Amino acid sequence: MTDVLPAEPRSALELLYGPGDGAASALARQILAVDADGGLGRAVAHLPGAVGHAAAGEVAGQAAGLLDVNLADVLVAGWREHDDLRAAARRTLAVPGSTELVKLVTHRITETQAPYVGVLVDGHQVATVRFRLSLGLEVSALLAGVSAGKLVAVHAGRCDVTAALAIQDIDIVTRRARIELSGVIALGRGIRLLETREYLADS
Amino acid sequence: MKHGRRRYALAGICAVGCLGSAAMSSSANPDGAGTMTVSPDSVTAGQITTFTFAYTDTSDTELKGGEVTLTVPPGWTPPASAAGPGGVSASCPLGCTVTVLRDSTTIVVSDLSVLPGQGFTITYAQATAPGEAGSSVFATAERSFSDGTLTPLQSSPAETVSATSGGSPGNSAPAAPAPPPPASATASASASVDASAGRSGPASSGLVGSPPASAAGPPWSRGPIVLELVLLGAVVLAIGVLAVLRATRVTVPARVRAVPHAGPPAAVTVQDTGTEPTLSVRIEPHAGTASPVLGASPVLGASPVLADAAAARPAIEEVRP
Repeated sequence: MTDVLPAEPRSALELLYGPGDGAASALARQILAVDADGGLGRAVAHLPGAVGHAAAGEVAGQAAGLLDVNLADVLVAGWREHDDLRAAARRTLAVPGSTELVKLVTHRITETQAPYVGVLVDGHQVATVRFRLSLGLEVSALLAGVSAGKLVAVHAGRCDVTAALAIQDIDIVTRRARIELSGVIALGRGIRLLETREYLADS
Repeated sequence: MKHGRRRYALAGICAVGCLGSAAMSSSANPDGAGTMTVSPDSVTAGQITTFTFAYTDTSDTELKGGEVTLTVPPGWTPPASAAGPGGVSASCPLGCTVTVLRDSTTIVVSDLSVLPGQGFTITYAQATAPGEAGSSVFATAERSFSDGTLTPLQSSPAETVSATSGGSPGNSAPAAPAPPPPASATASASASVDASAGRSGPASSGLVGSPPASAAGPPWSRGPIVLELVLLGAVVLAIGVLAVLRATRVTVPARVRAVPHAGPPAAVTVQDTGTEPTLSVRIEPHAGTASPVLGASPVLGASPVLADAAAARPAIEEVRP
């Protein structure tokens, strides 16, 4: 199931389940559906039905927190790995006061996370619910400003983001959205693109 | 299994405790305690009068499930459960049950609860005194608890019947022979009156076919055998309930907790997918020049960094990494 959400999501959770507070309840339903014959179902089989649903709700609540991944953070993490941006950062670090405007080649940032939630009944772990979140961000037409080794401006660019969630290795949902990057990322006084030691050496 | 043993142990403790408390209660207040008075205490022969018998607990402890019996002597209107001649009722602040034994002249006030120093009253209505002068003793017995023994009071109330002096007494009805008890009273002379909380009501009737006098009243007022049977039944019932609970395996609500784990560090990769080259434009300020800022491309002018470098003369070059 793949849908395109028109709104510009800020996090993977928002992309997958939309804005609002319905993410946890939707996750709980999917956990119960996926785990009908799985470990969680077996683990709580001896418990009253209400306890099983409560367990799914607890897992979903915790999972929602784990899946609330800020997409801007993923972008920045990817840009810290991009050679052209790192090179620009080093050059501006070497020449104090200099600034570079970088029109970056179209690139793809991918990130995969595999969080899991342990279920404890009366203090004993009875089940583990595994999640796999795959993010793919296709960035094009990015015009970034770099100064003093930091990303200080994102003047233009767009990002086509795809998020896919699997529970217990079963693909549950995949969603896509497009984000206009200008003004989306909070840069503050700039985001470092290099390792800390390189800034210390320069000072 | 451990919990099941614990439950049975608790049941045993409860049963022993119940029996123990029942045994202890009998020694708290001596049977035969208290006083009973009657008002008025003298009538003329054949006079019809409503009498009030007042019992007072003179001991230091209360009556709990106790019983008081009052026997109407021969020659008087037999007591009856129904309103009318001989009708009996009681007023007990903490509640009691009034019974008139079948084919008997004994009034039983059972299931009594009386605080120390307090008491209750029995009303014996429209009673006709014997036709001959003399003294009539209304024998009274008491037991303070349900498992006690009915013991006569040290002094039972007595009614003095004086001979008529050629006329009827002042406020009494004309002398008349004692009427036979009402049909309902003779056929079923057992009745109960709920006289709780100071509310005294007339003796109720209509108890035709009720059990014999010995079976009337609460179970604990019928003697030690019945009491033992009741306790035995309670213990059996408790064991049965525990067995059912064990069989149904009542589950204690479980405490469910979910613990999040971030998992292994996220793997981030970046890969160029476009074919166009990366373009960079570097702007380097050089201090010490007095020249104004050179005109720059619209893109460069939008850079906040350039705005900060207004006093400097930038050098613009294109860098092709």
